[in-house]
Amino acid sequence: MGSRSTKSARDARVRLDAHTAFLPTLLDTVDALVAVLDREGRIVRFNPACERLTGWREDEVLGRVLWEFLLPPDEMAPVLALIRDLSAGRFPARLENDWITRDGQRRRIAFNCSGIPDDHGEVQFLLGCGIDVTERRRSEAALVAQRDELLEVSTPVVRVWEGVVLVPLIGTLDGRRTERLMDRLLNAIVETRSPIAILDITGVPVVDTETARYLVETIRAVRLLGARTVLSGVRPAIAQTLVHLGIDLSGVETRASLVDALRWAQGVLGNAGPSTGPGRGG
Amino acid sequence: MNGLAVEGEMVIDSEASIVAVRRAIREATTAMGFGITDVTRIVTAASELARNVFYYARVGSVRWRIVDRAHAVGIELVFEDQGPGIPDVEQALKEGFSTSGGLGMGLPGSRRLTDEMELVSEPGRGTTVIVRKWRR
Amino acid sequence: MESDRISVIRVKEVLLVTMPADPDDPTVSALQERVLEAMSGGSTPLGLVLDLSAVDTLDSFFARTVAETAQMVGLMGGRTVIAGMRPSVAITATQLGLRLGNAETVLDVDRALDLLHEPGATR
Repeated sequence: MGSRSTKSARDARVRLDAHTAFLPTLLDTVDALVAVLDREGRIVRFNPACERLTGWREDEVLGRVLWEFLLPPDEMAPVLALIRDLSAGRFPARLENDWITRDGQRRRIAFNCSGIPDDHGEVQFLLGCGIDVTERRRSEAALVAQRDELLEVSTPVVRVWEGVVLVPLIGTLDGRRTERLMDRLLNAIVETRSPIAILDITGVPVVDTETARYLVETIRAVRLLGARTVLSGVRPAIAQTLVHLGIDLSGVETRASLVDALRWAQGVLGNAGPSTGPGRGG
Repeated sequence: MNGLAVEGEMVIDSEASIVAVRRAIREATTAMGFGITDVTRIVTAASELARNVFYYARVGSVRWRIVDRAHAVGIELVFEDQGPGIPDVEQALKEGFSTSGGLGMGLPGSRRLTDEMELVSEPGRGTTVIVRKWRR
Repeated sequence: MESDRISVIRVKEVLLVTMPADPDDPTVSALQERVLEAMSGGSTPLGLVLDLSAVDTLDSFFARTVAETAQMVGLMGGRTVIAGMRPSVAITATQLGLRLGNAETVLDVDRALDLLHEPGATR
């Protein structure tokens, strides 16, 4: 079984590789962009997928320097750097950049590039195979935006009573979520003239270095406004983490439960009177 | 949006240039529709970078324009000077802000306030800092 | 001249300075000079209230000047209270890592005055 069918398979492959129609058919059929340049960047091959995407026909672009018309000016540097790398033998290499179509639109392409050497081993041609990822990137961006919206809706800033706003945080904190949270929380503090903000982290599953950093950032920003943060929902595991991370929470009230935090706030506001916030110790 | 002239350049050669840069960038970013906090971030980063140019090189420039990607729109600021250059770029990008918030070049801070930063510097040749922020 | 825009008002033993929206460097420097002048005239004030409610940019130079001024005021026995910082400015300042030294912060000028006038109040 083995050697006979393997031999005929090898034979078939040799015949295929020698077939003059193999390469052109492949280039015509594939949906991926295939472009080949010479060392000066002039286009030597521009497959039908490239033609469909850009609106240029191969016979129109042969011999033209690719970056003179297909690349937006602000994307030239990384592409030229890639071409330098390829010419120097550093391949395969990947790059994602925009191409400009004939009618001026931008499409984002994920390229995988290589070099084709001549008989002396010098790179003679540069080969780029690309996939149009424009829609994918747009979808990703839309998903991120949607996720942010959802997180915002599920993280209300609630005015508990006069002088106290409460944020029940649920889920994990990342950079963007923290930014939007700070925006809404700080604006709520200013609008309601609340000297106290309770940040409840009961619903935050894990407090790692990053989360702790974002919490500290939020607390500092609230401080600059002149309000105090109470961190509530500090469970034993979280207390341990915060201590181990060496997070300095001096000047920040912390409580294990939201109820305790509310009681504390009530006490401070009750004793101090409406116009004096507990904003001492900047 | 494409009809707006959100592009410009300015020479940085005096203390007065720093506030002029802030005002120009504030106008540009507001015109582009950035939210107030993002406007503040970009303007503050621009202030820090313009300050660097003046303090370390005495003269330089800033150019700004809209940048377009297939899936996002943003602003790009390019600060250039032919000053002494940064001897240790890695160190400059790593240094943290200490209590007075102003020692050193404030590059990590500016990077924090923007989405992308590119830095090219050669001692004796000068420095180019490019920052970009994408509009959400 | 820009530095004329800094006015230091004395209100019942407290110095009140209202900063303009986007002060240039000379104006920021003038803050320190004018405060020091005012601190040395007559009886020493309880402290300084710096109203930042109009400020839309706070960069490292501004922050450093404020921190230094607060330190100087402190050395002369007074307190410095910053009032009315805008959310966008607070967020940016935090992300930039700016510190304001020993200055305290409150929501508005009213509370700042109350704070400084509290009987027996010490840091």
